[in-house]
Amino acid sequence: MSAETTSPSAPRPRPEADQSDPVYLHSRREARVIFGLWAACLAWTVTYCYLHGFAGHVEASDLETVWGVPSWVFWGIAVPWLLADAFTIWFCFCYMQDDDLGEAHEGRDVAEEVAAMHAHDRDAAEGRR
Amino acid sequence: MTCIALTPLLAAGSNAALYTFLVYTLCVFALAAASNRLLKKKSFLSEYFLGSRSLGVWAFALTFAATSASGGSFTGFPAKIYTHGWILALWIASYMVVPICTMGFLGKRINQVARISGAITVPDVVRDRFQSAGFGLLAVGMIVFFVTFNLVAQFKAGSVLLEALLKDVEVFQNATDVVAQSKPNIEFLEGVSASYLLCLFAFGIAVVFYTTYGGFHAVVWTDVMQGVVMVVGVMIMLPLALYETGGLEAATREMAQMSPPRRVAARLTLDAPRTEKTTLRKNAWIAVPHDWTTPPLDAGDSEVDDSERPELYRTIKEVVIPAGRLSADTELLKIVTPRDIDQVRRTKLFEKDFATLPFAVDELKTLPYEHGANPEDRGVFLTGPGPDPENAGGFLPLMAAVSFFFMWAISGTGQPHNMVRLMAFNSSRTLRRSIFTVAIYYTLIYFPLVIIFCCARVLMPGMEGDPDRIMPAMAVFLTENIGLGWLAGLLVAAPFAAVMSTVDSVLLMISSAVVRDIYQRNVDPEVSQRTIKWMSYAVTLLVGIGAMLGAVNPPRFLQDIIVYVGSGLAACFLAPMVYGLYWRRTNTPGAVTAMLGGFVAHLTMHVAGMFRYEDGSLTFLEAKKFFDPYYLFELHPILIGLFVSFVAGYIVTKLTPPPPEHLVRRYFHAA
Repeated sequence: MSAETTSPSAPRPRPEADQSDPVYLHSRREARVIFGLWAACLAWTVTYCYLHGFAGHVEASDLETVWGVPSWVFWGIAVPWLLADAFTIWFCFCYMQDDDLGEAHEGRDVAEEVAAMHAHDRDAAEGRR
Repeated sequence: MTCIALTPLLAAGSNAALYTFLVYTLCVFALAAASNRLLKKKSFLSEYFLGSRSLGVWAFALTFAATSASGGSFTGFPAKIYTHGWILALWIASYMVVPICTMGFLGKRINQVARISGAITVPDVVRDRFQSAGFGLLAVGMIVFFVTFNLVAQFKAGSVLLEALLKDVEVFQNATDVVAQSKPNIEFLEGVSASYLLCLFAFGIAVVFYTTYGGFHAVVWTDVMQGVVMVVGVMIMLPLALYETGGLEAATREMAQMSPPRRVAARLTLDAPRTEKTTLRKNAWIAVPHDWTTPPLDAGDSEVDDSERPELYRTIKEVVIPAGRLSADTELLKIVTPRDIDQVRRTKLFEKDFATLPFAVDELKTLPYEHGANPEDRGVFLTGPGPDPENAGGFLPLMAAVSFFFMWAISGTGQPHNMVRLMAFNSSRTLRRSIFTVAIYYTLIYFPLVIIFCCARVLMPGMEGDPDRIMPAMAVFLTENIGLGWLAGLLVAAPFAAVMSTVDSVLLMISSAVVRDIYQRNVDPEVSQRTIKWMSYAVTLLVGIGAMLGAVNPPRFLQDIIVYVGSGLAACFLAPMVYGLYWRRTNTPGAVTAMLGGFVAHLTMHVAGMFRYEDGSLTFLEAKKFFDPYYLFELHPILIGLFVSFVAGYIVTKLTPPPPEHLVRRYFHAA
């Protein structure tokens, strides 16, 4: 593991918002919205299905269905599924930012490590001399 | 030897399934060849393992969707719907947000971070982001540990499906006979059927060859084809299933009258001893009285006097009565719902499966069925928590439902094979359109699957002894009933495609871990492109062959292994990746702790599952209970793993020095 170079006690200035990478900022904002959608779907689906679908004994004559689907499945799962799809369409086409993801620096990581390795070898050789 | 009953899947003598498989395989090889041409034009490593980060909407969307839909989606999931009923709609409900979560949470950021450092694999991202070789190796270790399990399980799934597809093709039967005769008599192969062995090698060689030869682009292009096959298969099966049941309303009302069949320990007795051993194959029907099956009821004739109904049983495994003996003890499935008994009688497919010799059945003991089998539980297939033979709380109690909402959406986000794909799209515009495409794609697959296999419960009773075969069995049932048996080949190709698309991705992930993450980045960073190229081919080939050999005598519990691997990977990778991408303050100790914390917490729940308090003392149960984990606060281990991972990572990060400034600048500041 690499050694951390800054001590915990050393206060560091918080980077200004305008220094921050816009892709990072947009992604973070979008992730929060997605998390909110997930939480809302969890809350509605599990709560509704538990309250209406965990009834136990059901006679065929008492069965409530919507288009052949048990009503707790229809309102607790099928409808929110379609609403989630509608939200996804809005999110993808109206909310999510088109960002420039930048050039791919192919091989940069390995090149940096090779350079560091050679520098280390050079230092070691000079040390021996 | 007297063979009493067969379980044919496709009409005997039909070669349609074989043709389907051959055409399909040829297409896959053609795509691999085209992909290999690309390898010659571009940077080998980036192209072979990441497709040069050039995927457009269709390629990215369908490879993502197809890879996520593993063999479990078309074997384990239909089996669960069949066994537990409509509650599976709740079990899978979080797929409504899976595309937006798994692609949108990390997609844009991980793609950007990988571009900054030139990362090709997930361990690359971790290593570069934290500038820690040790952390990179830890990530490699985790991936190889979990994914190897998965690879063997998926090989088994692919082989079982291929076996079902080809079982009654004449050429295949002949080849099976040849393999059976030439199979060496060694312990390793004991109990392995010749047909399974043949399918394993056909499937394995096809997948290993095209993955090795074509690399990432071959995998992506075949995924696209497989993705199309999957959705077309489901879209064909849905109207056929509804037609056969007389509509969903009728199917649901039929299900309201059903009770799960019971398992009974029974003694089967022949009318007289035979001079040869008598073999009753797995999945054979036994009616008492024996002459009940002829003539079969016509379709639509549902009025049967209760007194005319027989006792109806189905074998769960092969039963052998030795020569000169009269009886044997075994376990049987007993059908208890009157309409199911009538349905078996009128289904022509089942006619072929009835035992031709008369047996007397003495029920020695009815085995316990923990939830949903009592008369007052009628309607159990329509409501929560669903019937379950093993759990007194039913199949999906409330906290399990919460857990599975985490499982698919959140754990899917933490899967390394998904992360690799997120590093491969060409622009954020592609990402936006792909999320939309996958959302529609999953809507067209998962909810219809619930409907189709609820209909299967009505149409094909008595599959509980071998529920993993319900998908191919249903495909044959639906197509033969409309006189289009050849279509079964295409329908069975859907799950086969799902398995293939997962196997190829996983294979490439292990191979990249060895070549890139271990060899190039730790042993010889200055290795030549030529060496890398041949090493990539060799490692992919070796890993594939190794997994194939592992699957010769594979572990059981396919779906359980898939769930264990998926949840374990998420517990290890999600927190470090979220922290690494979105929290500037994250440092190496914090991220490593998050990974190890998730791993240990998840593993602990599974190991704890092997111990139970029985009669006031702690008892060690057999190893298979590893896949029946301990549910702390009734929560699935994935939640415990994620909670420990996020909390431990946060605390350790706060207690240790901030990361080097140059890393924060590189990954969080505008260029």
